[in-house]
Amino acid sequence: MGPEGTCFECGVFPAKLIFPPDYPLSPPKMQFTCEMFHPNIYSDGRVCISILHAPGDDPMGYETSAERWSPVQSVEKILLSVVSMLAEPNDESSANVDAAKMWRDDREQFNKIAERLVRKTLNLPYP
Amino acid sequence: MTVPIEAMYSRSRFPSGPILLFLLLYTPIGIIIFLLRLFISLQLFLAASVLPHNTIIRRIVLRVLYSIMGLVVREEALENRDNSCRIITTNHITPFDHLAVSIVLPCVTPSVYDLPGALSTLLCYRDLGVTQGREVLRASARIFLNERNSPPLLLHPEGATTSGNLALMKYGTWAFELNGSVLVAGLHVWRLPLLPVAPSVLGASWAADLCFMLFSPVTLFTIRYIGKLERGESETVEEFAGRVQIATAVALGVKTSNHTVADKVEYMKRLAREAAAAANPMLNPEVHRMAQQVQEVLPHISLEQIKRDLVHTQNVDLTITNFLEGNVPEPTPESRPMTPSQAHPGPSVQLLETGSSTPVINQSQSPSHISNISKTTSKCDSPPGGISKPSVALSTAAKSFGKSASERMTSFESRKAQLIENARRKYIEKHGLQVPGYNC
Repeated sequence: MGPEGTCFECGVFPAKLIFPPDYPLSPPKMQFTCEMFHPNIYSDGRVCISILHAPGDDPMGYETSAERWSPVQSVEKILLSVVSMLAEPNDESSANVDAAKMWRDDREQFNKIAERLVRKTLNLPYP
Repeated sequence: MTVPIEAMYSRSRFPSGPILLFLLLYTPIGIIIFLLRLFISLQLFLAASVLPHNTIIRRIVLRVLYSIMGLVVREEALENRDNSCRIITTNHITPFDHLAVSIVLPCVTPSVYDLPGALSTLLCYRDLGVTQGREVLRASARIFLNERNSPPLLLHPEGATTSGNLALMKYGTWAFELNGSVLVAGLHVWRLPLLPVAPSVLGASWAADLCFMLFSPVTLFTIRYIGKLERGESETVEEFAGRVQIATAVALGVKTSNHTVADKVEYMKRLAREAAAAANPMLNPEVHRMAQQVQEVLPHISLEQIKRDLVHTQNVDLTITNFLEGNVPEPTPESRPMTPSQAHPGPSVQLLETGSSTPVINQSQSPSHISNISKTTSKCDSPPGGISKPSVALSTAAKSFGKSASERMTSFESRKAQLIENARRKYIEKHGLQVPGYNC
């Protein structure tokens, strides 16, 4: 559910978590099954956040290993991280360049798209 | 040498070890005896209460009554018995000490219960105002002793019962302030060695003691007279009380101790506290120690929550794993503090554990962030979305975890629908939309 006080507020965004056979050694994968427009979510719905990456996956070194997946992380933590990502996109490591660009330059347009997505998930008519 | 207070009293009614087997074998017989005695003694008790006071027939009836109850009295060292004394002091073992003494030596004892007159006379009690304080007791005892035909007063200077096997409690002084001379006697209670049911245990009521007296084949009270002791000219009351205590202890072959009634009360309180701690595992010191260990690892989780989990797991590592994996049920999600890594500067978000282990993200109030999205398509005159509190409950946590997979899936589906429904309502309310079927 989109966090309160953000453009994704009230939205209920379905997603699936795919757990690898060697979970919890490897992180699960998360993919939104609804349309999303967000700098850290690929257009096919895959989520790109540090907690879902095993240490060493990131050759660019954007993320410290403390934020990375480790077997002590939990599903709860993942979901919290995703909710916090919805509230605050990280435009440094963007998965959706268009969204990241719009988030940076045209926030109003971004908010409009987000609102449309929220209404879509809630089955409400959108302008 | 001092006697530890734990050793002074019987804590359990029954013995331990192989002798318990005899007790088990005896139990059916004991219960039959108990019932028979109960009915016969009730009849005799009623008979005794209607018979006139101080008659021989009544004393015979009472004697038979006590024998039927299994209360047998034996006197020792009869040459020391002195019928002229107005005060008799003995040690205190059961609530029936005075009954035993009164069989052989008519006497009364100050009543600690509020009994009706006839009943208290029958039970050799005399209301001397014990409940109204020491001064009243002392005054009424003096008046009582000055009466011509009153029977002697039996006092237990210990003030409370002991097991009678190891040591005597400190003798209180008030019994010796009344009169210069007292008849001192020692009491010993004996039951069949094969069935050593304690006559009185710590904190037991008189009713329980009575039941076990009726249950036991025989309860033999031995009264060992020590003789008339008089307070010396230069002797203080304390010294005299000490002398009487030592004389009694020597005659009974037990030790003396300095524990007073207050000590016994304290000891009983302590036992009650320990029992409460044992019954409530949250207060267990071991659980507390383990909880502190867990909290060193997980400082953001409250001690209360850790203890609740530890009570089930009894294992530090398991509890830590439970918290890390979020397997801990949370009765009040709002009270859950956020972990530092989760505490981002944006809106505060909390997770609710759902029954089907699919966490549902829930939102908590963060008024500071609401205002910046209130550019809404407000069409009707409902309050502006940003300020109004959402009136929809967002928690969709299941009350129970379904047993079968289909049950869980049904629960999940219905709660998912509920969540979406709630979110929709909230959205509509917030943005002041007019949607057919909802608000217009």
